[in-house]
Amino acid sequence: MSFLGVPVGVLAPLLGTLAAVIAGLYLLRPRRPTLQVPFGALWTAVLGRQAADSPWRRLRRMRSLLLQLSLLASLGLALADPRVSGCGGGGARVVVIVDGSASMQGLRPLGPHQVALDRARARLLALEPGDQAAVVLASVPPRVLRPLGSPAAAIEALAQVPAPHGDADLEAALGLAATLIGVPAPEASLVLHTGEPRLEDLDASAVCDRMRCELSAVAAATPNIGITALSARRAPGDPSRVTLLVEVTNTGTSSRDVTLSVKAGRVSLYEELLTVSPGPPTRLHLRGLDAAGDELIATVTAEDPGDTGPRFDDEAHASLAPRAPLRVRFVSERPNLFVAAALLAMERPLRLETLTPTQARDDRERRARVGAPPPFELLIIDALDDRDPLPTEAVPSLIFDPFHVEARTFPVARGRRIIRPRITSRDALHPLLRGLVFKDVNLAEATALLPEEGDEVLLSHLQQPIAIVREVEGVPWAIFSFDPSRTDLPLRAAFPMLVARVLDMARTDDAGLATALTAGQPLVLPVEDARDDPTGPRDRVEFWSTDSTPRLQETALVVDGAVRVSISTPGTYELRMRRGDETPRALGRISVQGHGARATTAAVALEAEAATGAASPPADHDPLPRGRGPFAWILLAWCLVSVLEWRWFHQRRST
Amino acid sequence: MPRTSPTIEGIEPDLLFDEAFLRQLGLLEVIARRFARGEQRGERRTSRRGSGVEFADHRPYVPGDDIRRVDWGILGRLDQTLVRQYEEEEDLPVHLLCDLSASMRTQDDAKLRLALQTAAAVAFISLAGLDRVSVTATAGDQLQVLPSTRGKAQFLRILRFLKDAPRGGGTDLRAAVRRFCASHRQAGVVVFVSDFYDLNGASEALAMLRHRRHQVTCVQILDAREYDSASLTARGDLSLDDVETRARTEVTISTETLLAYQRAHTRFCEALARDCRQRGIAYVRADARTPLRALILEVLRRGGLLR
Repeated sequence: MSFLGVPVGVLAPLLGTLAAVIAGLYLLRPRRPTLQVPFGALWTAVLGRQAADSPWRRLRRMRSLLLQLSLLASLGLALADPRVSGCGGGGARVVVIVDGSASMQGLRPLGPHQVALDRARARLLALEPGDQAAVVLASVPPRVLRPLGSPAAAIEALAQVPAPHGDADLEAALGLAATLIGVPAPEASLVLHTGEPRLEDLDASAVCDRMRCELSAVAAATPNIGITALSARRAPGDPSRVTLLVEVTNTGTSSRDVTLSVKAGRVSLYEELLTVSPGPPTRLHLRGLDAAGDELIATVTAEDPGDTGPRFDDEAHASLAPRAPLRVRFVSERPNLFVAAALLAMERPLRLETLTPTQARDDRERRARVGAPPPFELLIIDALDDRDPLPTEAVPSLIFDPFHVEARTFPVARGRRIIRPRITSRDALHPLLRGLVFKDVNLAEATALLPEEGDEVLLSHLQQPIAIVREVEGVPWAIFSFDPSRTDLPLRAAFPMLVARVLDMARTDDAGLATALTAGQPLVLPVEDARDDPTGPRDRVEFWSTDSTPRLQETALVVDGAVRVSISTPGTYELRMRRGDETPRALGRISVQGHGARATTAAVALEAEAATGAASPPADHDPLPRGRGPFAWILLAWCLVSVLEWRWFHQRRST
Repeated sequence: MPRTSPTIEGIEPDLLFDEAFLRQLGLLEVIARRFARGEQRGERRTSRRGSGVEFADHRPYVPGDDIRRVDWGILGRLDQTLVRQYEEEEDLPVHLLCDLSASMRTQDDAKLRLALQTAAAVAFISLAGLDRVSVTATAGDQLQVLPSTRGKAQFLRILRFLKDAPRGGGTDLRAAVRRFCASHRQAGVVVFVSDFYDLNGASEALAMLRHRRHQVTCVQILDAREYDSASLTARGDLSLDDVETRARTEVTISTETLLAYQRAHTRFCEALARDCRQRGIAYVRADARTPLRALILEVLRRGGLLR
């Protein structure tokens, strides 16, 4: 009899020690309460008679101990997974190890991953019916996809091999496979399919000395250069620009010339010839690329693909978060088509809200009572005829003719009323006015403003400011002391540009996030406005590919305001939330990378070890695969039950 | 407020009875079913003809009789020389045998207190009846004897004896009675106050007393808190501590165990009572919480010890 990974000679003393500890605990009995009796002889006679009358009572003390020992024996058996030699047939035992790391990826129709699966399938088909086979996925940590069983079951398990991604611990996979086979047997075989070119140099003697190892390096002859990281975001100061971080890694053995290109749709944003050497990844920080689209695709193209190498070695996707619309509140007593037209002509998305002064004041008071922030980023106040104070807010503001009514109070002091003013000077270097022409603008009237220290004067009439910028509570207010509807300024090209500059003044930092993740990794995506009603139709999020023929890749239910999904195919996906039979609502885009940042780190490390000839220490494999939480919980539960049972035994029905 | 007898230094307050109770005790006397042979004159008539004042019978004169007892009237009328015989009045030996072992001292000495009070009360009654009273206290292997004494004046002496008598130890009634019988050869009334918690020795001790022709009255004092399953609150895993032998036994006590003990205790007491009945021994059972007044004036009177 053999135990899974643990010799009987080691396990038996361990279990014996545990049994002795348990028995010792039963001998260690807590102090009992004392009952003084005057007639001890009669008590002895009664108790002796009772013990004689009820044999079960004599066994009661042992019952708890036997229960404990049986629990220990059961736990030991469950942990040990005993297998009798010869049981299960006398045929060959083969464990197929499939490299699941990102180094097995490839864009050609018959990539290394598919080649490895085909070879594994052929190897399993060649087995006899009485043979046993298992499938192990070399990942981090390695996983047993199918324990020892019939070859047909192992072939079925090959279909469960996920798309290669991330890292691979080949030595741990070898150790796990050896543990699966059990006792050393000459008829046992390990078949390792991997894309690691230098696998023959891998020190697998600890395993391969005991059984036959067949190593099949399916991608050893081809170069493998991958984009191991790609992230993109909008430039903080200019949303029309994109900043890219690209990491290219050569997992081969020689330097290769490749072309790195970045495209947004069909627009080429960047292209460069790179010479990528084996070893640490090559990182590029690309700034100032045009944001020609929300989806970016980076490809690495081999300059010299050779006879068998792929033309396109790797491809990575990144998507830019959509720009949030700028919320603008326009307070006016009458339709102002000039301002509205200037706002709606903006290229960037806007959400315009027009309110009367009374509505604006009511909304401000309501928000002040509950302490809510303003629901807009820019406030534009037209020239107002009522005498009440202007509904100003602590947000960037554009205020026209605040002294349209002379009695109105306003934070800026006023000077005299100017009839038919002329713009005699302007601050041409100010960001609001840079490049704008205000020549021969006709104004009906304006009010001279008395600027204070810190105010920036934009426009003046004979040294009398008629437009200033003042910072109030940390936000800028652009104040023009004339009514634009009584000027010909809206007819000039400078007016919409001035409004656009004001919008820029209110722009928040919306550079967006680099929404990309690695294939196979779990994704937890919060969904706003999700309805979590178990009785009604459940919200679900669909992941549609964005290629020429969109297809539904994944569907995930919204649970607790988020979806949890794992996408194994690299690419860019459009997320749509569907509620019952309603029309789906677009949530955004997300890119799934083939490589992770640590995709080939282990492979490089193995190469380094092989090059230096360092013998790796024998792997200290657990009999149980690492990360198996239930076994730990079972062990903890057993300890808890043992303690409670022991304690309960000694306190049973005590008062 | 009942008046107690004068406070006497060194006497336990429990043994000091109030005046009314003493007066009631003075009206009682110990019943002697058979006339015991006393050593001194007393107030009890005996079957012996002697120098009492109560006329009993005539008998023919024989030389040597006291000439003063010749009934001259009979001689003159019938010409027969007869001698008047009078009933001999002797005292009654009353032996109080008190068990002061450790088993009497559980539950706040309730049993011991009632046993001492009972012995003191019976002693007072006997002294008041001019009987000779001896007190024997047994505790473990110790046996302390107060020799026979008469007269009410000796009551305090008896009280001091009871106060100073040794306590504790095991209950070995057979050995105690054997030593008692060795020191009290004269048959008399034996009032044996104990819980009789001697599984094997109680019956033999009683048989030994009867063999010495004592008129025995067993007063078994029990405490229900020691055997009643409803009163015993202990359950679970316990360490039984025998107060007499100090032996400890770890047991698991359940309600069934307590009921079994109660049944066994009842059987033991019934066997003791049956044994007493078969041997012509008066048997009285009293709970430790029985008031002394009720025990003396009602229970012992019903039991045939007092009248």
